[in-house]
Amino acid sequence: MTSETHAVAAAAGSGTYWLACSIFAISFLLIVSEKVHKTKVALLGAAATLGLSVLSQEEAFHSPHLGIDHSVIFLLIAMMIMINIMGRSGIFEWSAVRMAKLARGRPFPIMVVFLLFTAVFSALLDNVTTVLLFAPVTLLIADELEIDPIPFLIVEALASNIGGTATLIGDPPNLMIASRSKLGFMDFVVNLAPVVVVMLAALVAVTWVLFRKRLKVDDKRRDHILQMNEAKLIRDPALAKKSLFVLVLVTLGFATHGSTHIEPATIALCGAAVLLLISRLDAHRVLAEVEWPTIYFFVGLYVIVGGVVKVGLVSDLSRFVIDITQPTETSMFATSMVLLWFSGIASAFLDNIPYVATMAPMVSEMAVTVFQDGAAVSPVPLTTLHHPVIMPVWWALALGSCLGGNGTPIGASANVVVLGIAERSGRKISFLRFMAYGMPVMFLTLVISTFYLWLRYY
Amino acid sequence: MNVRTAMLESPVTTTPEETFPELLNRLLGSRQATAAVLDPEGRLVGLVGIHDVLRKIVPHYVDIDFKLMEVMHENYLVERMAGLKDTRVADFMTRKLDTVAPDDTLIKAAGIIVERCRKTLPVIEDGKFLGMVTRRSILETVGPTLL
Repeated sequence: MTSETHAVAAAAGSGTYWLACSIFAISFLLIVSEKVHKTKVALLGAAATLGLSVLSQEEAFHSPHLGIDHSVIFLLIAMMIMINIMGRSGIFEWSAVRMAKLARGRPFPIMVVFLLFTAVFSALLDNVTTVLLFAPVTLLIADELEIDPIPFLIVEALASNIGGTATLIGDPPNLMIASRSKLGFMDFVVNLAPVVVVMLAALVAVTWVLFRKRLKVDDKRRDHILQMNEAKLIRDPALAKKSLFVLVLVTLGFATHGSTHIEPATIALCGAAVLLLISRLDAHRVLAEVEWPTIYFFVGLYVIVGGVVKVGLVSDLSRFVIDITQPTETSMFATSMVLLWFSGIASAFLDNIPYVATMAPMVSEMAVTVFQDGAAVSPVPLTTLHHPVIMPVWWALALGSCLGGNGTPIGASANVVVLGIAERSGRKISFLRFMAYGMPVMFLTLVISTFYLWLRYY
Repeated sequence: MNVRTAMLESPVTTTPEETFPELLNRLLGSRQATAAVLDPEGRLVGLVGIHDVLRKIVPHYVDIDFKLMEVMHENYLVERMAGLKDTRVADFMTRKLDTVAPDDTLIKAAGIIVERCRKTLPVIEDGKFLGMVTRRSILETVGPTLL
């Protein structure tokens, strides 16, 4: 337990304790109910946390343990700026048509290359923007082939959530886990990318079983794809080159930050600043396109969760999990498995961002309890956070919370976006139709994760 | 000036059951871009116009990215149009309507047309369809004062 939490844990059961718990519970319920926009709820919860003195302003804004995680916030903003500029170049649409042509206009190979492309871009950029840029061109390709675009869109959403699991920047839960655990970009790649590759292979196999017979078109339709002039889709060739150049540099920066010791948020901010400058785009227009509601959702959540960390609720939750799973200093197998499956199922129905915002500090508390006997040290030493026995627990949390998003249309933002685009194009995807594909894929990937964690770490 | 002064008393009319090619033939043969859809009792149930036809053949994702239209195959529109061969007016008519009464002021009709981006307003009195007022019919009524 850290000194900050230790100081207030004594207040457990007091008025402040229940106040923080109430703010947390009410905010969580309102977010789940979707009656009020989640950003409004998070900001109101944060305002209550500060206004009712559960957390001081100093703690909320400046405490590394209790406050807003600025490295996550700025990494998100910087990535949004970069992808926004990149999206304006037309490079995504160009790549998609190019790949469809490389697949010789055959629907199933197109589905596979789109699946893999979405997964790779989701690992390097954010999932929502990747599917947002891919969905319209997918509709175009399906339209030209005169086939149902829905299987393509669903598979892209699933691939996006799986691909995003592979890296620190791929999915917001990983960002939050990385920041809390102080794990680096390559830690995520080395520990999660191998299993993500297996999952993507499994997803290809599933799509082959489900769709290969349904996706047949005549040569005339295929010719429509082969005759497309993808060069027309590049709006700004110079901007496309500049964007790719900066993206490659930023990815290299992420990959080497373990040795350069430059934090991912710094690398992303440098990339965003340079791209903004060399793109010569209007700063107002680019910055206006940043998803500020998402950013403020994170800000609000950090303050709310900071409140329940401070009063000791997260420590209580950590003790509860410890009591159930009985981790020892040599093995936390049961803890990993419970966390993997609980996170998976919870993330299918709940927003995984507030979930991980709560669970990441909980795993940190667990590490302190198990490896330091709860001794108060702040910040928590890396030897504790990176103890070989706790590492699989971090990966279990990442895998569960990212992959669970595939279970339902509301499980991940990428799913919501795909459903929205499908509806706008007159092809509504029902909740159940999405689940008919999403749930089996979610369970399949969680089973693969179970075996992976077991074989690699135990 | 009221709506009656600018009202077209014999606009193109159709029924929900009429086939699309029949309607298109009559619309293209007239100077009007919109037809009033009437039920068997002569009550207005909707409007259908050239824009609704275009809306039907232009894919919805065009509003997300106009650039995508540049790589479509040459005969895309013709093929989409052929797909409408067996459709009926009820499949693409607009049911949400703004209407005016014959005694409403012409400025009110012009205001609705401009502010709500309408091309045509049906004129209704006691639930009965009387005719249409269009952008052109308003200008044909008001314009001569300038000339």
